[in-house]
Amino acid sequence: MIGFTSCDIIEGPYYTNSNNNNIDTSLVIKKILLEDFTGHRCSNCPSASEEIDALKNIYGDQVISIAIHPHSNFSIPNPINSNDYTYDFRTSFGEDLDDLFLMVDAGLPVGMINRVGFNNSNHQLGKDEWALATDIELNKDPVFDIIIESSVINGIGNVNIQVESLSNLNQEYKIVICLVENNILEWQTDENGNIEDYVHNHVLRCMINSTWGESIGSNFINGDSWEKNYSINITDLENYNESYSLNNLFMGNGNCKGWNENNMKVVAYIYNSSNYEIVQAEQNPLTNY
Amino acid sequence: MKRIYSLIFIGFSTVLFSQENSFISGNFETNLQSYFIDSSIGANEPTPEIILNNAYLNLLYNNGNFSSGIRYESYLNPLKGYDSQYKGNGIPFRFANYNSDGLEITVGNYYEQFGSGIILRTYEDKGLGHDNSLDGIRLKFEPINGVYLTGLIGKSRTYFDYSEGIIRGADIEFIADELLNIEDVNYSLILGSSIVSRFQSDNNPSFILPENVAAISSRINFNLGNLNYYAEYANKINDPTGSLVQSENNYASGKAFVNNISYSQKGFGMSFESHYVDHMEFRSERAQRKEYIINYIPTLSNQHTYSLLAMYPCATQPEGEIGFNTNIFIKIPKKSLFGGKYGTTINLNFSRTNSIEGGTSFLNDIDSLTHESAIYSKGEKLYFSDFNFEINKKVNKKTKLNLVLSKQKYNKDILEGKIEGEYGIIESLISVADLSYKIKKGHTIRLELQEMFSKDDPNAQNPSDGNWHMMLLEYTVSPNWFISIQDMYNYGNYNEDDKLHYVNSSFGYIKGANRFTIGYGKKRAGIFCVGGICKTVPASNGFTLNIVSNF
Repeated sequence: MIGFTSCDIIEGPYYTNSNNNNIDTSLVIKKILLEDFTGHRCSNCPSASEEIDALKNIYGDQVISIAIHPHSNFSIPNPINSNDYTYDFRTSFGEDLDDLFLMVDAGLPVGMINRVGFNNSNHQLGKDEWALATDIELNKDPVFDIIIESSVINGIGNVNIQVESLSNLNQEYKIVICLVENNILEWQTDENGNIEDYVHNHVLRCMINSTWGESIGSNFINGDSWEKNYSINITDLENYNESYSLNNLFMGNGNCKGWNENNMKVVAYIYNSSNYEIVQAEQNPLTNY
Repeated sequence: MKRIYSLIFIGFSTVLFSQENSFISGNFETNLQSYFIDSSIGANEPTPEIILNNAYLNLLYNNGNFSSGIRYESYLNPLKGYDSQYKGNGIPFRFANYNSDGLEITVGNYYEQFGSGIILRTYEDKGLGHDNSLDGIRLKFEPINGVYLTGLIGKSRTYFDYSEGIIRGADIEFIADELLNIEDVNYSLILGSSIVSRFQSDNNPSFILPENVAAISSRINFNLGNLNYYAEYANKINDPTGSLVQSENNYASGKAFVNNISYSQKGFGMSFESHYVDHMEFRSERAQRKEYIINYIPTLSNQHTYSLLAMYPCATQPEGEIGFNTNIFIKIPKKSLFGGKYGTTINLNFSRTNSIEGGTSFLNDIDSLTHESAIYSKGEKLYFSDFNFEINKKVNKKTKLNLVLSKQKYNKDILEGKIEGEYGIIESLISVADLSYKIKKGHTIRLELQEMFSKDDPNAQNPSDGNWHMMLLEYTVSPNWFISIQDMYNYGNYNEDDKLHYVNSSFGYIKGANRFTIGYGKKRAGIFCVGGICKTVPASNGFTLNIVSNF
């Protein structure tokens, strides 16, 4: 009982310049999905975005994030003719996710790293817990390779997804294809008050093949592949969200359009259908590829 | 779970080979609530289950120097206002304990507090949904008279799981008069010191994090006749949250200083409590989540039970606050000028907490953010103040009267984690009259009238809820029945649509060791606190059923 009096008083500098990115890029690398549940009136949420930026500084492309604005007191928009907070970031996909993962109940900002811990209700992670969970997940071997190709011009085009299995697996896996958008300038609250033109990044716009995606199979032998092509029409997708906002959401005002395809990315991820755990993720710009 | 069942088995098998002084006791409670959507009060979230239930059973076995126990908990699904991570059933609490020749050994779960709790207090509160019991080993030993040693190691419970860190702790206490074998003196001296250390490995890719974080405290308690003095000083070494962002990773050490003095004699008592805390939230895991907190800074305000007095409650700010709480108690004797036939009790209370100068101490590589707050330095920001006056009087054989007048200031932005300037400081004046009248033997009627006049901060962006009326009528037929109805009316709300009545009724039946309560009504969204630890409660509309049973 006496031996534990030791304690670690750290002398500055506290920041170490350790670089984790000595990864052989010729091989398939493991990537993780960080689902950040946020809201435009959530004053602590911008600090979670800072945490994501710091994670990306360290792990680079290995960290893929989606900002989900589920319905909560933090995300309700003002009526359309108000001066501020009129944008409705909420989507049917975000509502589906929150219905299952109960993230709002845990208090925003909150996130999931690859949805790890869902089986024992340990998936709701505060921002300070993301670094550790990311590190653990990135130490796992990738079991799938995902290749995204897309060509979209003036809102119309297609997205091609190819998946290759990297090991033998005998459980069902599903793939979800999302569109996210960067550089949306809209109102946001932070700890000092209201910001009119806050830069909202990786905002979830839609899930092309539904919230829970589709099966890519239940039995894989190393080298098995799966491929699918999706036609997309941005206007239709915008209209879907508008209709959902107006008809299904509390105080929904339908103000959720104005998507800029040049700022959009395709995010694809594969999860184990029994425990929802994400095993691989990938992203690419929607246009110019 | 295997371990748990074997422990139960040990418990019961001992009963089978029973000894004369062994007994089993326990208690059970279930809280069931139904939820309906009621957009008028802001209860907008649908509850697919319609009914939610929290329940638990404590089972305790005692046999001389040996005791063991379990608690079964069931949250199917957890009531609103409780964390969804409670969802499910389980036996998260089980222990075995025995005491032999001055050595007490506990294995399994235990609750422990060192001194006033500023570096370690594990406890449970069902109302708050808080339980951070340690699971591990605890030894208590009295090597010689007047010297008490405690040593422990364990992991802290979070819902149905454990947090990451390993907690090690030790405490030593000297009780001078026992040690020196002095009897029949009117003074006593107790000295104590403790250390608590958390181990969590450093997985942070950007920052060097301390893996062993220790907090140390020393305390003195001196008693001379009617005078009692307690002081405790604590220091916690660098304990950053483990974030990747520099401005979020605070390497400053934490400190706390508690000073309490009290005096009491027949018919008169007074106490003055004060503390200064800076960056003293000590968690069983680095990340900043309330369920990880393993220390406790007592609140410096009176805990009110009348609903309007408790509408804006003080929440302790362990990351930085300074304050005091003064209580004066006077009992005017019977048959005196103000005492009347039965005597009168008067309670006077004044409490106030403020920010500390410059805010929470901060240390990282960024010089512009680095600063250290000097001990007992008061900041400008008021967090909370309450000046209240209470008279308790038995008017005649049948009538009792309790009157309270309170003036409170509540910094909603700080205490509820809003943005500064959003609501500012809400000032309120609250009066309570509580009259109970005994109609005949066993029949008592009680009437409570409460008023709140509240004034918004002129600089705030948003208005508060404004003025409230509250009325409660309760009829008790002891020892078996009670019925009550209450109405809280927010007549002063700035928004016409929100000038609402929150009516609640409840009916209770007590039979022996069992109590049944059925209720129906609307509850407003608000803050619920126990001892300065608070949680937000969402608005709800529905039925409640509460059953409590002991054996």
